[in-house]
Amino acid sequence: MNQGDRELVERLLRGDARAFDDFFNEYFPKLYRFARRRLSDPVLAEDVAQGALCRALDSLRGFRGEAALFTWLCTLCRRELSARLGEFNPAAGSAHLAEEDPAVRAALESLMANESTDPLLAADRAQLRQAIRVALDYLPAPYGDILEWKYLREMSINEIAQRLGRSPKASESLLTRAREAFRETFTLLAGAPATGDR
Amino acid sequence: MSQETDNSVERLIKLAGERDVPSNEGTRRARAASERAWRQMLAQGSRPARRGGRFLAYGLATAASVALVAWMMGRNEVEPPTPVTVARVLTLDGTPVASHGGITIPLTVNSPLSSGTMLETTGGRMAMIFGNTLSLRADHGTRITFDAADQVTLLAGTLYVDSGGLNAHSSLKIRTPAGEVSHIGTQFQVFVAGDLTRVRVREGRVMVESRQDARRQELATGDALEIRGDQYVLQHGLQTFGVDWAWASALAPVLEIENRPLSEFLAWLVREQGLRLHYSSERLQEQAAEIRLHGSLDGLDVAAMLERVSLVTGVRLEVRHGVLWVGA
Repeated sequence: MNQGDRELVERLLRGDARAFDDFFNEYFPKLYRFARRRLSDPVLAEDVAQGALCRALDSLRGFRGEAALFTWLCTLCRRELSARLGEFNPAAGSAHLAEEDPAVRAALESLMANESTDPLLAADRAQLRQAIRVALDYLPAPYGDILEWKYLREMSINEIAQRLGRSPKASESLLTRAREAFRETFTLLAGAPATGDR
Repeated sequence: MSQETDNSVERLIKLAGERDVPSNEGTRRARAASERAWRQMLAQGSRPARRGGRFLAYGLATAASVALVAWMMGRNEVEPPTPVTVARVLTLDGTPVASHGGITIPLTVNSPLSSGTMLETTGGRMAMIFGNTLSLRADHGTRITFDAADQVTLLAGTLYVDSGGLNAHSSLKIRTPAGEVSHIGTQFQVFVAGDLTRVRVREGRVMVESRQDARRQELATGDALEIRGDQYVLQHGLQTFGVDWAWASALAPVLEIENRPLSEFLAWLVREQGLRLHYSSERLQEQAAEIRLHGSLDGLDVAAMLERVSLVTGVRLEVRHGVLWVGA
């Protein structure tokens, strides 16, 4: 378990209300997307994510930290999916997404350095979009949000700093780290050869 | 990081577009449910203080349960028997709580459960084994007491029973507010909420004996009986697979397939999922008894199990309309 996960779990177990907000705000949207990638019904995906969070909170004392918190939550979400899908749904049950691969999961957890970049330019665009979104979800908070604010909403560093309650310099540094983490994570997810920057 | 890499990150994120977000209503609902689960978990950390308040919060439902227990104990007016081990834990999901005489008993896989124990699954679920063959599974929000090696009392929630098949000599009576439910080699579930008791049979036969008028009703595969007071609603031809049974199937311990024949795996799967099995030819059925499986299916859901087994054996496996089709 990484330091951030450990602290968050400890705060939750102490009854810290802000920890609950942090936990919910970070993981509910991620679990929703995790479920949504496997389900066509957005409301069902919300229910599944909700069920997984409730299970997690119910059994938080038993969480030993053998996997990252998000990985554990994804496992609970998968169980919730299995339990809810009464009629067999091959699309949901057997879809093998990149994030299901244990090697990829391990790699995502450790965010180990890997010198390769900008892969899969020729790959299927839908798959590529999915890999990007999965990579954003696996980034430590608040990297995924910062990248979206910067590149999709085109917020300035000052605006991002204001939103984060940090200095512009600290926010710039955070953005740099977010880009690097995204690059590494996405490269691992996409399984690209180490070809160097392009 | 180079400017080019920076640009490629920007291009990729723009290509993906904004990630999906849950609806405001879904978020509000999930936040409320999660917060309840969190507060419940925190309260469990200080059980002695919690129990009084929680029992108060249960209100009428608990009062009904207490009345039921009182009725059941008072009816015989005998000293409670010495506790004996009646079952053991097979699968735990979440943190069900067991207590005996007001003392909380820690639960792990293989924990023994003795007569007189009360089990509350709260947000979790649990599978247990009685004797050597009978599997009992408890869904979320279930409260039961273990009365004896062949009897439990369902106070609230849902229980699923798999007796181990027609040839298994196991018996279990389930006492409910409506009366007693007993079985003859079967799979079924019993649900209790307040004064409503519902029994639904997946396979085999079940006998329900009303507490109110001693009326006996036998149920067979696909039947369901709802009893509320003196009102009976009987249904026939219900599905034996699908969403109503999924929770129980999800609690089933995974079959250890190492060196087992394909036919055995298929028989286990259809029983757990309430399916029927159809081989495309007799020859394939014979072959299925010869093909040996290796490895493990731990952590896989049904679709993934079928996909993997199909891949390694070369036998096509497909579930359609409640049937597992084997072969073309």
